[in-house]
Amino acid sequence: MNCVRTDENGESRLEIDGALDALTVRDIRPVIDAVVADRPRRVTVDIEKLNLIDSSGVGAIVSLFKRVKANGGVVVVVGAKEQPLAVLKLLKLDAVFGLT
Amino acid sequence: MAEAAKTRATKGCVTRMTFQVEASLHQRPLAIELLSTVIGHVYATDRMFRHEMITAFGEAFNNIVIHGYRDKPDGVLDVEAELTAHEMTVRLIDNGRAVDFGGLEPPDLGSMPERGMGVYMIHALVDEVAYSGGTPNVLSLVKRTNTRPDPR
Repeated sequence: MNCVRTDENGESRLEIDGALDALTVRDIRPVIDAVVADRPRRVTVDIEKLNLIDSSGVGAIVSLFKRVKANGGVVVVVGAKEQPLAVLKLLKLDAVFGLT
Repeated sequence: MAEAAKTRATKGCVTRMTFQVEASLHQRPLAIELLSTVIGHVYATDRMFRHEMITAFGEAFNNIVIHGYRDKPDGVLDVEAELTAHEMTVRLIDNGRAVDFGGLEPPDLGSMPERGMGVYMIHALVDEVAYSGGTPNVLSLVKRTNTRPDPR
């Protein structure tokens, strides 16, 4: 898993590729914590190159969503396809994350 | 999947694969890759079947390693897969602590839980879940190929 963060005009973008699962989620939590601490008004999570996600990975994105929202910001997820999209749909998160 | 399934049904083909990995999250990518490869070869056109079975398997793998083998670093996990024209069975066999794979209330998805979704996902993604705790523990996941319209 690789996560690249970019920031512009008060907005953050996270591009995540590879697998976001119980093993790799520990690597992304510090990135999420840092994004939340900066209180961006909008966060875009680009998972077009993410090929696998499990419940732990979903939990990390949900955590980001809730914490940014609590600060008055918005989180959207873009680029979901294949297995990650199937998982987000199963957990009824596709609409919440703006995927539909 | 239609033609491949018909051919396999006619010939009564059964594809079997077994492998053993260290019960560690570091082995999860390998285990998933092995299972994904055999599914891809047998049920080539049904990508959703592969996504769903791999997702269920991954959640089961996580639970066994994290909960069943907690404080037991030397554990191993045996995986048996059997694929016919009509269904796929995956058995995960371990000697760790028994894990509760059933009887859970579905999570309140509306509240966007951050954990506790794995067992729900397993039950939602496969047709049968059976668990026998003991020595060894055996978790069986069965997913039928005819549970959705032909993808083509």
